[in-house]
Amino acid sequence: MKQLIELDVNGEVYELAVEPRRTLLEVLRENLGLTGAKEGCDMGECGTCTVLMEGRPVLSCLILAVESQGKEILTIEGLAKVGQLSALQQSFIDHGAIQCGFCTPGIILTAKAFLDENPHPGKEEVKRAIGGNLCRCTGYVKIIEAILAVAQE
Amino acid sequence: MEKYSVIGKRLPRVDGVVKATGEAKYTADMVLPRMLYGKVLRSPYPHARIVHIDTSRAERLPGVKAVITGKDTLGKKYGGLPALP
Repeated sequence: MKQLIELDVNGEVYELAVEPRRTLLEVLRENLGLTGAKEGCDMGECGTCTVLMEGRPVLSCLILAVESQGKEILTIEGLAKVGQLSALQQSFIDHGAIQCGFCTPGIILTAKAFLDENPHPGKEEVKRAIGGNLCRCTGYVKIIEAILAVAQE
Repeated sequence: MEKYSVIGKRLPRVDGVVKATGEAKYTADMVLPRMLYGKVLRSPYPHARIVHIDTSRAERLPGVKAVITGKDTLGKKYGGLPALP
């Protein structure tokens, strides 16, 4: 049986009827059309489905939509402000930290939450922070450079 | 070097912005009219010989349009392109 819920995503409140078994990732992608969060492994291993909940990175494939009520959710679609890329998004482009781009939304959001808490990290801290996000293209070097560049601004 | 506009310069990816904003559409992100969904059922046994696959119950499920097995592939095991001579 469907349950009526309210989801606060990127500053907009959506009223939805969802089955309690559906994950936040499924509802974001299928009900709201927000496909920036990706389904990589669908079991909490890869980090491509990362979104921010109350400012903290969470794996939306492991969270039920019904659990996400009343929490402020930010997806990659909500990060740029009216056509203005965030510093991290711009840095990823400038440093060539994007190849296929499948891991990019998750890594940018993880990095954002990390830099919000720790604005001037060292390289090792950055590596640890993105440890839960797999990238199979770039080998991480440029991703780490892109994050450090924003931290040093 | 200066007379070149591209050579020797670092160029941003043409699709960098849409990939950084989540706008980029990957295959799994597409929704098309009358789109069907597929599901692969794999053998639970490695190196097993397939003797018989009974698809009748799956075919009777409401909404199922097709159940495709090796019988539908003209004996071709891999890909859709013929091997080069």
